[in-house]
Amino acid sequence: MRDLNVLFISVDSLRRDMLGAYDSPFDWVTDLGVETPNLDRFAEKAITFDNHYAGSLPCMPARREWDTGIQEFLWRGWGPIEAYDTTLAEKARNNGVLTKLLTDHFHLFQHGSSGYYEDYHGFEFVRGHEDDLWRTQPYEADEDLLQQVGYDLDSDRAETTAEVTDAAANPNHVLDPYDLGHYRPRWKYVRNVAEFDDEDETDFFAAKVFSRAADWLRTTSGWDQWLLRIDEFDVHEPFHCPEPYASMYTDEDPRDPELPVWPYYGRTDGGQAALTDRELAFIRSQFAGKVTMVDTWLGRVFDALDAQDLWDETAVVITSDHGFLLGEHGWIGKMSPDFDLVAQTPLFVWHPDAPASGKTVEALTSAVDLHATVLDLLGAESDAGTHSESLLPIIQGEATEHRDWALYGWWHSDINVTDGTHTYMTPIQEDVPLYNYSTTQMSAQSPFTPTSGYEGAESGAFLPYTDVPVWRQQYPSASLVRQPRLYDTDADPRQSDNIVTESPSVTAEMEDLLQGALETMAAPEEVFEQYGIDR
Amino acid sequence: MSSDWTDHGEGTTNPGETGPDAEVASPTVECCIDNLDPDSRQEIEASEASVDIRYCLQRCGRCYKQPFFVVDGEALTGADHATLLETLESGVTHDA
Repeated sequence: MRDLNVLFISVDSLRRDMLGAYDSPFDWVTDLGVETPNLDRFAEKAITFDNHYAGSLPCMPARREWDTGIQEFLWRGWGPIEAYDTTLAEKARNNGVLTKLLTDHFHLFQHGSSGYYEDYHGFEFVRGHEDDLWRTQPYEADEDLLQQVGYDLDSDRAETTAEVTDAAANPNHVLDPYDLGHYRPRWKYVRNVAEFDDEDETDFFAAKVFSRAADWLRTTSGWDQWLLRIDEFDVHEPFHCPEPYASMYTDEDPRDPELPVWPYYGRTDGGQAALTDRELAFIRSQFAGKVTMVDTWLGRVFDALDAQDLWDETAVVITSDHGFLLGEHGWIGKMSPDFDLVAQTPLFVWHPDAPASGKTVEALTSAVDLHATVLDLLGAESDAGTHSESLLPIIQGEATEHRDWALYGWWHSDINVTDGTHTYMTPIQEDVPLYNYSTTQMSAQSPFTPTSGYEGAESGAFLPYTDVPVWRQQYPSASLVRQPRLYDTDADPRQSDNIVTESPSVTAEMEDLLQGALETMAAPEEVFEQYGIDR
Repeated sequence: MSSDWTDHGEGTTNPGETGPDAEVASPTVECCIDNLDPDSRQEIEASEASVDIRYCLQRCGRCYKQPFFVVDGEALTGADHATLLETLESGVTHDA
């Protein structure tokens, strides 16, 4: 096949079950009737991958997989591109390809996450999403939106007396007294969007990013070949929508300060993430609104490909890093057991010469595979030793199978494996030491920039995929599932029945699959012990 | 709380007693592993308090600054985690 331009688009937190190309096992999604006409139109001409799984979770580990082909969560957590990594942009650039990044994803630029944009010939960063450290004015922030993003302005808080006194003495007392000391306060978002017009969707993030992408496609010429990477942070929270999307799936007043747009992660039946039925219904409606908003503006990119007659010389890859639980399984967010609503992600690939165009592929595939796939589409080669297996044979119609297993999970927590028909969750054993391997002294957990050293850190060439020495530092771990869980995702796509006890033979098969996968990956010795797997 | 399918906290350390049959409502107490040193974690796990120790409660600034629990959704801060456990035992977590 010939070398192509590549348009590689990721849409953050895009639940595949909200897209017309995929079925939803959940009635409320079907009932809501979420509209995604542009992605549906795209899916009709592209290859739809029906068994695609995330790997390293959440956002930034997923980016490193796509960028470098390293399935990092067996070795480290949230952090920078490593000095020994080779990024997509670097490989493309060295192959004579013009590279461009368009994004509103603040995490690519914040403390502790270097290396994600520097290799592109050009990058544009649309400012202000989430807690982007951008606007510091207006001083008097919008009180209604402050409440919607999570501030309790009634001051009925469980603070110590001294803290409340401090708060009262603070002229900006509507804010938490620690907010000026906070590393990532939510008021950042409120000030960032203070000048946005709720009635003008062009003020909002997906509109800005995808508009710039469409402009870039219309105005870029003269280069033999290009890679355009669009990293769109929507649908990610806060679920703060402009009209018409904010009212599209609810009869509520979307600016009612009692209705949250930025839920805490956790269980919905108690604790900081507890939600009433009304609150959850509203959050679902705003999430759905954002999905339709993203789809609308993604359509402008497709329009630009039409207008410039680029489809015949361009491959288009569209995916997401993970999904988002909206009350299913009793959780909200993505810091939950890794159910398929989080881990099974959408993937569409358009290739002008693909015989499988317009069809659905059932082969099991993994996020890490997109690294080699994009390089293959560009005609570039990936480095030896990565974990990425190109999907080009499937795209070319030369193969129908791809992987026997896909691993996914969060470093520091439980591990999951699927064979495409079953998912098996295995708890991390917290009494087994957990290590982070990196060239930097990083705290993969917030606030990302540790100010003191760690006891017992060692250095050495510990990694199987590079001879570069790294630090090995011990960190705490935490399990969410506590006990193994097995789901038959063919028969039970909602993952409502844990069959680990009643299906010992399948459980044994999945344990063997996990063991083989870890051995293939040359996972660190302690990882086997953490998950109770024999070597 | 209704949902299409509710996982009632199978295997979690503290799903909380929020149902109508709970005789005495126990507070839901959450703690971030990054807010703990190994000794504090051991102390919490050895205590009778039911504390859900998890990764990242999205309160990074406070977490960086001082020991804290989240009790029924509200931050409870103290000089150290032993003090926080004592506060939990006293049952007085709202002193404002």
